[in-house]
Amino acid sequence: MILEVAELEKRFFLHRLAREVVAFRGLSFQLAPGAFLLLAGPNGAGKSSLLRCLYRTYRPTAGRIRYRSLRGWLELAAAPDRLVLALRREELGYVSQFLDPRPRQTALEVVAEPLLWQGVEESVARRRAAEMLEAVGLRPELWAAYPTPVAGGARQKVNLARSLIRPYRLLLLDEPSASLDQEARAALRAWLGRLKQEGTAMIGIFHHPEDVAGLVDATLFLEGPYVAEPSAPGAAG
Amino acid sequence: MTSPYEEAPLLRLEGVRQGYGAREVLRGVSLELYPGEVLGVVGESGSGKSTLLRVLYLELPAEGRYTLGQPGLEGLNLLALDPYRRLEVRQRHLALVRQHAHEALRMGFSSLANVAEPLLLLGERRYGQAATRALAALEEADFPTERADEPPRVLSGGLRQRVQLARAIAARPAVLLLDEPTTGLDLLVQARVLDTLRALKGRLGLSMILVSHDLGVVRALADRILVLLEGEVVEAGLADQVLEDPQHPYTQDLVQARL
Repeated sequence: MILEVAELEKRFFLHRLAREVVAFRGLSFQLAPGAFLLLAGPNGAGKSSLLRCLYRTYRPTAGRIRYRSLRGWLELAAAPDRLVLALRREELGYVSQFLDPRPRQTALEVVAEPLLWQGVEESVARRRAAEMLEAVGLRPELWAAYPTPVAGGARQKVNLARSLIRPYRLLLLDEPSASLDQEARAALRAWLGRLKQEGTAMIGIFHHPEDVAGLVDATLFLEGPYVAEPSAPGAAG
Repeated sequence: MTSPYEEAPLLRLEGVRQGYGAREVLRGVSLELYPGEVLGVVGESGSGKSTLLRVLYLELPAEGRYTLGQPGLEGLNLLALDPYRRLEVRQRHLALVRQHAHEALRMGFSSLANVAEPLLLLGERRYGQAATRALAALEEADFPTERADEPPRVLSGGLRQRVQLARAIAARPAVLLLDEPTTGLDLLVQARVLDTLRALKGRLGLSMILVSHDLGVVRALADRILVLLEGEVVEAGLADQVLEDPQHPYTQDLVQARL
């Protein structure tokens, strides 16, 4: 196993509204290296929140996330921030539906950046970025453009190329195919298949089953949506 | 259980207090900065942000413990040093970019001289060598080097900040402190200065503490964020975590208040 999640729960406490919102609760599952877990369930069931908890963008409220990193088993739910940053740099990936807008940087620079962080030489990084942009099917005339004003689909290709340019042990996929055309979705499917063969474990949200045909080893159904619960009086502050 | 990830912090504050009684500005602030990381400090006016930065720059006396993981300084409480040693530590290991350039620069001297000055103070005896290094630093700060002879007085706000930045990084400080470095600049100029800071972080691996009331500025640069309220740290965490899953009521309001 690479991941063992037990009784995981995420609640948000909104102080202004004195209200508590349950994103999900009681989630337990395991994941083996190279395995692909599909998250399914209605809107508001907590699928994205689960991915964000695993990436530690959200702090889990209760439960355990045991993750086997290159450094050995560790408890992700309680890992110190420094460790989480190192894991994100080295082995934990997250692909969202949106490009974190980085204005005034060309598509090629945006894609090459994660490699530069790892100390890859600039010319090598740019060459690999170009290969990656080609793999996701971005037209070469857009490589030197700023992603901000280009069409959503093209921007998502840049985002994917940036996210997938380096290897991961565990890759979290939050609807990466949402705004892509047919061709790009097929390219993404092929790329994920390659990662799977290389042993990358993946957890993903996909609304079109054909985008992950032949990849899925297991499906986790999230039941939600959960009803907001009034919180105990006096809990605010 | 031992953590599989051990790393010594570059800078550590423990229970730092500044001011007295009802006028206490910092009420027991503790924080850590790790090598190559950018720590963002956010909070409203009067929260103690600038005071914190001045304590970190050894410009204000304070109670508590302040240590730097630098050769020769291990285990030394910098707050307990005599003024002369404090100045020495500041010159050799720290640099501060202030909100107002005129508080940091000699407005009538050439920009090049402004950048070369700390190098000369640190023992560079050959002026030509200092000038060469200063020119390189101006270039790293994306300052148009053909204007290096012009004094900051005749430069725009954005260029003045670049001179400050070049002066701050010329001697490669262990920690770069930034006090609202882009506040008061035009939006476009602000964005360009941020680009430079981001590039410096990547290229030089500079460790920085960035104080700003602007969440956008902090989001663009910080790995971790610390929220200061009335002189106390009310929340600290990963940058995306503090912005997307804020825990403290004040942080929730702050994030909601974004334009």
